Amino acid sequence: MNVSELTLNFSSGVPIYRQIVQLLSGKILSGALAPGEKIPSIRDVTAELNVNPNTVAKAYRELELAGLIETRRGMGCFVAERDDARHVLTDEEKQRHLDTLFASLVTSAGMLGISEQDVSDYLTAKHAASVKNNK
Amino acid sequence: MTTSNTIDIADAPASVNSESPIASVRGMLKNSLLISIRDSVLLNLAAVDLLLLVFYIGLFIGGFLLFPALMGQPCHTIEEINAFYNQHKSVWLIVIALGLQFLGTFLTNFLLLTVDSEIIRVWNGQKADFKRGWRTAASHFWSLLTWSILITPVNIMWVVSMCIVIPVLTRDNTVNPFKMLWRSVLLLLKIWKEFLLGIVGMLVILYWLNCLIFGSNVIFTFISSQCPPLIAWVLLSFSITFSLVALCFCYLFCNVYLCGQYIKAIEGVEPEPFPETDPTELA
Repeated sequence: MNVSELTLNFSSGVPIYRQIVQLLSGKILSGALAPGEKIPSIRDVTAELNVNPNTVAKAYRELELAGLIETRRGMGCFVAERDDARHVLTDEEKQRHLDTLFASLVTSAGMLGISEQDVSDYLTAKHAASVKNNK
Repeated sequence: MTTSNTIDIADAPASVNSESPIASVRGMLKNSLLISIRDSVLLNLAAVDLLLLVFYIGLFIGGFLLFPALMGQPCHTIEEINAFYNQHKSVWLIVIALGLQFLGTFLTNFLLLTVDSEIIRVWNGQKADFKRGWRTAASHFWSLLTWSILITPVNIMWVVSMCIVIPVLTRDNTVNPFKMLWRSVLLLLKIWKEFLLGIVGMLVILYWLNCLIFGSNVIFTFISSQCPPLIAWVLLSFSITFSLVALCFCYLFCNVYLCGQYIKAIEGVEPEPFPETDPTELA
């Protein structure tokens, strides 16, 4: 994975370490980052994005606690080498990721001028359509 | 799925202020002192910054003193200068004065951005680079220009500029000065406790530094009066050099601390310039 794939927004109001967590967890859960794939080192991210090493370290610690990445001392950080990260997450961790995804959706919608209520209505409508199709 | 322990992504202040503010400020002041001492390029940058500012102030005051002389009415006292400018009140004079003030404000902000952008890089574990700092400031030319236009008529805004706006500008290219101010205020709200405590801490440290400068100057003066003229001159030049370096150090230290607080507010984590070994590095 290339550091340039991480795009941070310094004026969004969302702390940078949270943005890094959101970006990487999004990529891991969507499958864009395969299990076992190496993720950039703290030094690389720090140098490329001009952020503090502690910020990147905290983001990586959160991802490690969530079981999404693992650190192999002297080798680097890798996407958790399991069948699928989704299976190793606890309910609480899944809830956290859902919250992160929802917050990200609301933030993106807000940038487009779409209200939280509209996002909620959209999800309800989509869900209803999906249930109808399944029937 | 459980619904407890949910995380509100917008809840940035809570994560920022998770540590005790006093412990946080103490650590930040310590790191600011370390950075100010360790990076000589940063001190040189601050020295050049201050030197240019002093030059500008000299030019500004000198201009006001020279103008009457150029008009054939040299002034020797403040009363004479006041009388001259009261006599020659004109729109042009006001425009020239405002123009000079704008130039000074812009230059001050430009240099401050140069120093601040490099301070942030040093906080992020990189080495300071003189040229890169200038390039960063030049890339924010329009933002600096609009901000300087807004604050030129209000002198006190210089303090606001130094404390909260310029660090934000290092990573923000908005040309709307009101938006700039608003974003800076929002960031300040996240760290207001540490910010106020830090100002008190900085004032205490600066007080002791100034006591050191004053005390050393008194000692130098006393020793000089007891020495032959040549040694007295050497001591005097040493004393002046020491005072100037200490002044630059105070200026740099204040800016390093303010930039550290900015990083904490925007990144949500207390910055650490000298991290432990990176576990993600290749052996």
